[in-house]
Formats: sequence, structure tokens, C-alpha cells
Amino acid sequence: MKARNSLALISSLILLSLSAASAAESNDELSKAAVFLEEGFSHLGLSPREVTADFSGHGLAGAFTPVTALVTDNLLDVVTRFAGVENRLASFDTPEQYFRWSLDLLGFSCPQPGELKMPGGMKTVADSLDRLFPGAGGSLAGLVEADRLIRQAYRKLTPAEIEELKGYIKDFPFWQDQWPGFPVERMITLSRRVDLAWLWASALTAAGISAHLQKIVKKSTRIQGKQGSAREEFLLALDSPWGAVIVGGAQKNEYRQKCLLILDLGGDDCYEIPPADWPSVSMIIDLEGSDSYEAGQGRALGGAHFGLSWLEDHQGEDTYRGASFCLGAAALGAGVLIDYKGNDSYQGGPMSQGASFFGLGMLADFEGDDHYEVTFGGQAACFAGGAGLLIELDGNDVYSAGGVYPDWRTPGATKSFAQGSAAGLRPFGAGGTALLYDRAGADRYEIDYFGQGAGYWGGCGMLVDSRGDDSYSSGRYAQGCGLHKAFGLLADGAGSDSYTLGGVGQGAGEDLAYGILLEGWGDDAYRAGWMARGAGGTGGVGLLLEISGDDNYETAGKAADGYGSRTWELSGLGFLIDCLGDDFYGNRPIQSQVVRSGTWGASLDMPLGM
Amino acid sequence: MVSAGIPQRAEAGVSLAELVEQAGTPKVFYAEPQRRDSLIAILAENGRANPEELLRCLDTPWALHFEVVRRALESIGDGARQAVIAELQQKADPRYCASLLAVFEKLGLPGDEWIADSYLKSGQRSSIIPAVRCLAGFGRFEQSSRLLEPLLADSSAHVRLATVWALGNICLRDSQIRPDAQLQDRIRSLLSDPLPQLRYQAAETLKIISGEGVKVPVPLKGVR
Repeated sequence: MKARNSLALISSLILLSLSAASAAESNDELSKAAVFLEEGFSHLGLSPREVTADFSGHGLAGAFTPVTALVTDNLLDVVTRFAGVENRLASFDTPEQYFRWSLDLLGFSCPQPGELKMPGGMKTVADSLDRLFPGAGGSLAGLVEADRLIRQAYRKLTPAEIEELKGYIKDFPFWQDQWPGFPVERMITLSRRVDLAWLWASALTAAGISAHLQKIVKKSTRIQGKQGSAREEFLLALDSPWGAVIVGGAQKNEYRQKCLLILDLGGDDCYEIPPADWPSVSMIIDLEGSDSYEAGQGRALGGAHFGLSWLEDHQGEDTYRGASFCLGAAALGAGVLIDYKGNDSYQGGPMSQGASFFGLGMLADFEGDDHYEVTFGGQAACFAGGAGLLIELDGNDVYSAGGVYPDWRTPGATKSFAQGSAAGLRPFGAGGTALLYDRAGADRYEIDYFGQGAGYWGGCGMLVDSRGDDSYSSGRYAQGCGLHKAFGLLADGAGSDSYTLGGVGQGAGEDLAYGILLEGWGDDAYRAGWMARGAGGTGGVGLLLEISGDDNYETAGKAADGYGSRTWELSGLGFLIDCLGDDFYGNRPIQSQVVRSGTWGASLDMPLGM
Repeated sequence: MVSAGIPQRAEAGVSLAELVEQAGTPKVFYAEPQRRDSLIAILAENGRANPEELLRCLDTPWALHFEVVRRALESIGDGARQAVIAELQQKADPRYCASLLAVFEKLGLPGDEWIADSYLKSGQRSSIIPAVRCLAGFGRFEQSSRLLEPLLADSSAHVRLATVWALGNICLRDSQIRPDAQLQDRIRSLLSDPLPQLRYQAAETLKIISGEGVKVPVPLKGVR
């Protein structure tokens, strides 16, 4: 009877995870962006309702992305939709709400979990866990259900095709521009048969299990008596058909194997976890201590190829290091890393820290001044399908990406594809959705080529920062940049920010794409090279909308500051609209002025919304 | 071994496809322009005798490979033009034909307008747009405007935009051209098109036609 009640409780927690979010809408300047945009456009003899990035009528093949609809939407609708995003994201306070938001964005409906049943093979282990923490054993039935749900995602693939696909993605060089000799088309064809909604269902189920376990363990009056002694390695260590279940005490523990569940009560622990093999569901919950996490071979510690990998750390100054597909990253699976407290350090190889390829990758850090470093494709990055999310709710954070994989367009340049970067694998796999959301703190964002709210080949890449005096620095293709039927957005709500860019961005759309930079309140400084600050090319649309503050625009390079250029018949449109404040352009004060940059673009600086 | 800047015959056994692959790697294409150009010169030299084989290399998903082949065909010149015309007359796979038309835009000559005709009437936008660009590239006014005029009322905004732009480009090449009143009226009707780019382009084309000599904005290069 007790066991049945426990399973019902977990079921209700899972269903709570799956239910819709109610988000309060506040009313700051960014949310009024559409009003400013309409008023600004009225001075240009043009309505933003008439402007659209992709009028070609050609889609990109099989894009798993909201971009197909976004780029054909008019500019006013797009800005209206995304101006509210910052408020909505700011109102969330649980990882599940961000999961659900990404699910809504992708347009999936989430399958419901089945009734939880404790399988015979798990009963002994569950009873042992119950003896340690009454009611906790039922969570194992939840993990078995998460396993069942994630297997549903692959039901349209044969075992041989799964093996084939695993072989393709194992060492796939995402950082290359083209892949002659590699069966990319086949890899994409097979990947498209993965039913992504089930990955979210599995992850949300894991969120419910985690909430249940925390509640029980943290409230347990027996926890003090269950911390173990220095000689006692684990409070519980049992095998099950789904993997080992380990409970570690409050002393320092070392974990070196992949498990179904590791629950650690405290101590400065060391995790060195090898890659997981299919079928794979794993969950690690560490409640206290400054821990060291290492996944030298990748595919562990909140990272997976196929399967679900969940890592949750509640306290302490933690260090995370790993290779590919770890620390909240997944290919054809779900990888989640949640860190609740402490000043943490994250170092990752390519495709880590909120990265995805046809999957769900999420890194969420709730508190502390954190430091993120990734070589390529991370800190919210997604290729071709699914979503890569990095959620940072508080602290002065540093994000750095790139430095390893050359971009041959410029000597010494490297590819970053990070910090809200979504890219298709051109030309076979269009799409991908990525969001880096940072709610508070004075943050520093650094990349080389591509990112900070950038979309490429059907990708939808977003960086949203709510508050704080932030600095953004990048080489090219960044800070609200869309390339080739894609969508790139950088939205910064409040704070005096500085933007530095080599070229192509700060609201630049190239080739039937949208690139948008929305800036709310604060005295901001802009430095840019060419094709920036509201620039559209080859049919693309670029917009920099600066709502308020005394801003400084250093003299930019060619094709900048509300500039549209044309290739063939494809004329791009570029708009720079600065609404309020006393602004300087190249050290000259400017106000109440409209400048047309050729036929296809305009910059406007005048008091709007008064 | 290929010396930078010096066109050479490739060693025996090195196929055109292999040369394309060598020149079309991002490292060579962007960071080693002399080597790239040398490989393209060899490719053109080897493809000159049999441009049909080189044309088949256009059927590639990789943008840099396509660009390498396009440049080699351009440097071959008329032999490549003849081969492209022959292939376009076959009306093979639409994707391949779209690639051929993209190359033909630079290779075609006044008098080649007829080759675009069937593609303009194909109903497939993937073929119509490159065919319109061909006429913008080399078409004579009388022959081209007859083919293009019906497309000014096409249901696709992209086709309408390409058409009005192409007419402006053609008129820009010859300041003596004065389209008849009917064509001018049709272009004028696009001044109220819902797509602003089309309105601007129609205005620009009308200015060119009226002889005011408006300079067409230079396309931005290198943003890829």
C-alpha cells in the first residue's frame, strides 16, 4: 500500500513537470519593442508588417526548427513574439519550465508517461533504498519509466540502424564546413526518424523523479544517521538490470562507473565517469560538497549519445571537465546538468555545455559567479535538430568559446558556434534551436566566429540577457546574426552594455534570414566592423532596435548602421532604430535624424514613444 | 606537386573530381588562394577537352566544390558554354539544371536567350529564378523582355522581384532601350506590391528605363 502511494506521488510530480507553465508577463521596455518599432517605421514610410526575411517560397528540406515559420513572418510579429521572451524566461524558476518553453518553441506536444510500475527486477533494490529513505525506492520505477519513454523515441529505427547511426555520430566533425566522403545525408535521414518529443518526455520524467528524491532525502530525519563513516564507501551499492544504484554518504566518495542512479549525500566527491552505452539512462544527484566531475571520453555526466543522462549538483564550488557530449549535451538523446549553488567552473570539448544534435542538451546553473569555457559548439548550441539550452539565473559569469578549430576565411580565426548558436549541416540537415538565457549579473561573453544569438542554415539561435552590465565580444557572425534562411537574436533587457564585433552582426541578416539585436534600457557602447548594426544582405533583414539610454556608436565599417545590400535580385533590408536618449555616432551627437543608406536601409535616431 | 600560381597538367590518374576536392577544401580555397587558383587552372586545362565531364562535377552538395568548378568553366569559356547549352537542352534533373543555369549566367552570350525559354515556363521556381538571372546577365532586350513580361504578374513575389530586377539590368546595359508603354505600365503596377523590396526595385527599374541613369547598388561581396 505504501509503495503504491509512493508511486502515485511520483506520478503526480512527473505530471506536474509536464503540465503547462504559467508565466507572469511584466512590462519593461523590451516588451514594448514592437510599439517603438512601429512608430520608428512610420518615419520611414514603411510598415514593419510589410517586411519579411524570406519571400522566396522555398523552404529548407525537413527543417526541425521554428525557423521555417519565423523567417516568413513579418518583422513586427517576430519582434512582438521575441520581445516578450525575456519577461517570460525571467519568470521561470525551475528547469522544467525551460524544458517546456523549448518544447513550445519547437511546436512539439509532450507524450504523457504511463502508470509507474515497479518491475520485478528492481524490487529488491527499491526495498533497500526505501529502508534508507522511506518512499525513495519508488523513484527507481520512475527511472525505469524514463527508460521506456526514451526508447519510444527510437522506435522507428531498427537495432542495425541505431548501430549505424551511433557509428556516424561518434566522431562526427561538426566544426567542418563540408563533409565530402562522409554519409551526412544518410546520417540526417536516420536522425530525422528519432521522435524528439519522447526525449523531452523522458527528461521531464527525470525532473519529476529528481524533485521526489530531493524532497524525501532532504526531509529525512534519518539523514544525519545515514552519512556513513570514513571507512564506509557507500551506504548502498546494488546492481539492477537497468544499472547500478549507489548511495554515497557525507564523506568524500569516488565514482568511476556509469550507474542508473548515484545519490550522494555530501563530501567533496570525485566523479570520473566513462561513456555510457546504449541502452542508457543515468541519474546523478549530489547534495553537498565541492565536487570534481570529469568525463574525459565524453558522453557522460549529463551527456549522452542516445539515452538520458541527468546530473544534478546542489551545493559547493564545483569543477566540471569533459570532452564531447557531456555537461548537458546530447546527440539523439537527452543530456541535462543542473547546478544549484556555488561558483562553478565548466570546461568542455566540442559539443558540450548545453549542446545538441537531434536531441535535448541543457545546462542550468542557478547561483554563483561561474566560468564557462568550451572549444566549439557549446554554451547553448544546436546542430540540425532539437535544442541546446544554457540557463544561468544569477551571478557575474564569464562565457568563453573557440580558439581550437580554424576558420580559414581569416588567418588565426577560429570557429566558436556557441552562446546561442544554431546551425544546420548544410545542405542536408537544416535547423536547430539554441538559447542562452542569463537572468542577472554583469556577464562577459567572448567568442570568435559565430554565436551570441546566431542562426545558420535554418537554425534559430538566441542569446537573451535580462539584467546587468554585460560585455559582448566576437569576431564575425554574431550578436543577432542570421545566415541563410535562419534566425539570430540577441536581446538584452537592462544594463549598460558594450558590444564589440569584427563584422556581420549586431542585427544582421544575410540570405533570406533575420538577424535582430534588441536592446532595452542602459547606456550602451557599440563597436563594429562591416555589415553590422542593422544590416541586411541578399534578401535578409537586419534590425538593431535600441530603446533607451545614452548610447555611443563608434564609426563602423562598410554596409553598417541601417544598410541593405543586394546580390542578384535579392535586396536585403537593414534598419537601425534608436528611440530614446542622447546618443553619439563617431563622437558626434545625433538626434532626430533619419539617414537612408541607399535604397535598402535606414537608420533613425529620434525620441519615440514620448 | 603543384607549384603556386603555375598552371600545370595534373599527374596521370588524378581525376577532375580529385582536383575539385583538393581546391575545394576550406583551407585551400580561403587560405591558399594561389594554390587554389593553380588547381582551378589545371582543372580548366584538363576539362577543356571534355567539358561535359567537368559539368558533372557541378552536381555536388558542397558549396566550395561548386564554386571551384564554376570558376574552371568560366576560364574555359566558349567550350564550356557549348557544353552547358547541350546539357540544358537535355532537360535532365531539375537540381542539376539549376546548377547549369547558375553557371550559364556568366557563360551565356547575347543570342542564347532561347535556352532560358523552357526553364522560364517550367513552373519550377528553382529553375525560373536562375533562368531569369541568365537573361539579366546576357540577354538582349527585345528577346528577353518578351520572355520575362508574363512573369511580372507571377504569383511568387520572388519571381516578380527577379523579373523586374532583370529588366532593369538589361536596360542598364543599353541606354538606347525604351520599353513600350505596356511594359512600363506593368512595371509601374508593381509600385504598389505588398513586398517593399519589389516596390523599391520597380522604382529603380523605372528610373533606369526613363534614362535617369540610376546606379544599381553594388552587391556586398564576401559575406558568406
